Amino acid sequence: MRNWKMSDEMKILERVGERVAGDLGDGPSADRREAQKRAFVSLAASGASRRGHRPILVFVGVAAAASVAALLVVGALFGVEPEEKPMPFWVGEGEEIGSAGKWVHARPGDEVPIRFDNGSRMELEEQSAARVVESTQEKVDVNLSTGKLKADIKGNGKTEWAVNAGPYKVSVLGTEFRVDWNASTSTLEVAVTRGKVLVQGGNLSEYGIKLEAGKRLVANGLDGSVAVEAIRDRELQVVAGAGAVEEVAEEPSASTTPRDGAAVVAGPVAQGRSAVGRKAASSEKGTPSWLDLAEERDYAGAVSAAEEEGIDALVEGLPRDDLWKLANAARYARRPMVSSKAYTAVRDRFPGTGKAATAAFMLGRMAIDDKASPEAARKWFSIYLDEAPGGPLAEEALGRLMDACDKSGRGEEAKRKARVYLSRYQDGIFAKLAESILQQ
Amino acid sequence: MNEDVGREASRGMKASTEKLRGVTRLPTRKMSDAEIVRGLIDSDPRAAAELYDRYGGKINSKVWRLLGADGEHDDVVHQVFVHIMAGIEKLKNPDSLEDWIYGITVNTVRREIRRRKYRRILVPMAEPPERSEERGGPDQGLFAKQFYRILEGMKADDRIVFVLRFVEGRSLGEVAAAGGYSLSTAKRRLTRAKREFMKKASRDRVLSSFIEELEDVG
Repeated sequence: MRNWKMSDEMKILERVGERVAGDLGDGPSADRREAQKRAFVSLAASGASRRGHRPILVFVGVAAAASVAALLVVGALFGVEPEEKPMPFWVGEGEEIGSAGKWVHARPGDEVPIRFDNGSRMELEEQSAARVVESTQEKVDVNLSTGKLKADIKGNGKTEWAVNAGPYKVSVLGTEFRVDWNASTSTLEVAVTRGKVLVQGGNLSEYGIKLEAGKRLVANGLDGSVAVEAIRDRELQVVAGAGAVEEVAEEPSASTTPRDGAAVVAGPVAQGRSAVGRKAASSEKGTPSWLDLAEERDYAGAVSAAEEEGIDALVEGLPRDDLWKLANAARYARRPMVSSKAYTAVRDRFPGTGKAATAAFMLGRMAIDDKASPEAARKWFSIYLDEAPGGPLAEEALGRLMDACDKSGRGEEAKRKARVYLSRYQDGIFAKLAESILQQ
Repeated sequence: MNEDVGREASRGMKASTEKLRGVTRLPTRKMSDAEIVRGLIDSDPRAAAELYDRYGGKINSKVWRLLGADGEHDDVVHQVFVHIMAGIEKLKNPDSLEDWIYGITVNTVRREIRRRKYRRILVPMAEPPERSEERGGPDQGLFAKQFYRILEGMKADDRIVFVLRFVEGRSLGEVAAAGGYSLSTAKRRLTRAKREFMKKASRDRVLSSFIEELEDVG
């Protein structure tokens, strides 16, 4: 062992400390800090920690008091905190024991229930996929990859519940609600029938939006629109299921786009209210335009009205944002020819813009979904990735490109894309597909 | 907590909150510490966001350096926030919020170190930092790793004092205040930690060669 002089020792240690501080930096990446912030905001909004932060002896019976007291003494000495107790859950009608991290898929025509030990229940609607990421007495975290999930949460003041959908997080404060996540349109819809939830992430304000019973939020990550509105009674029955309808005060629907201020409502939501909106618009200002109808979410009506005006003239003359609305309206109305024409016009007339890149992605989706043409889809997804390599749809575009390559018989290219996908998105929604392609 | 301060804070926030047909626009002006405290007691997410923006960076920096870019860093930081929420109603003077938060941060880390020691769990250290990889020096990650390996053998309080003093660059008085020690206790712990560190560092190839280089330079 060497001997250093005292003054040297202080200087040396200061230099060692500086070196360590320089190596370490100030902390984790911005992404991780953002996640921390969200978790804290959610924690604060739930108030759960203030209600639930109690010593572990609260629920322990008298008979076990002596041994637990001994445990507490040891715990106090060493700062031991109780282990997180799991919250068991069961999946499907057959009540198979659930496993955290395992995907649950609901096939067409199927609904898959997930029952939790405390009586809470979720139901994955048809053509949806989700996984319970974590299930403990402190926290239940569910990732909804695509589709619809209905939840009836029994609040107990200590379990934090959250449903994550794409860039959004719905924190549950003891409630009954339904989440609909459409990854391809980046549209989130949350409808609350009992209690309240906090929705955060995506294009929402950093503080999130608290949603109460009888309210619905529709957020679109592509055009930045956010709308909060009252759920109509009739829809409420659909959302909540029979027998779960509560009285809801009627409120005028509202929408806003926090980014550009233009009023827009986007998203493939229920269309039962369209007749009312159309009638009101008609009585006030005569026959509604296709744009009025699109904003009323009567997408089929909007396309019909657009056809009366002349689709060709519209796609050639509409300003960019209106052209985008027409393309979306046609897509929601399942009118692929009109939609494709409008998206193509966005690309032709507004090249180099973000909307042009997103239009390429949409055309890729439609090529697969509506035309069953993986070759065309491959081309469009490649164009999107060229034009927006770091765009919000990059992960999905890469996953779909890989899939399109595979389906169009380009095995080697599919494998290359699969390797790239896994290197970037190890836990992504296409990770399983990528692995299976690599094993072929 | 003074009720008047709380009511005033509440009024201020309400006045600046614009309702837009169902969508609530949130205030953009900075909240005072008293407003943050009141807001947290009322479970207001805006107060939490404001607190994070104001103090989250320093909390992260402290935990990061005290534990050494630890693999469980985010969990420990979350624990700090859990403790903040659990104790916020007991904070008598909102003006001391910053010191109170740093006290909680140090206490949380202290508990974490003791918990690990008791459970004898070796927590793998995350690859020191994204930053060292960016810089690409061959021994940079290793240097910090060896440094914290030596610290693992220290008592929790000795380690805290040592890191606050030399890695954070705090004065002895600041170290004592952050750790909740008297000045003489902080001094005693620091002396013990220094002795232990230098002894072990002299046996470590990476650390001892760095120290020798320092001596050569003078």
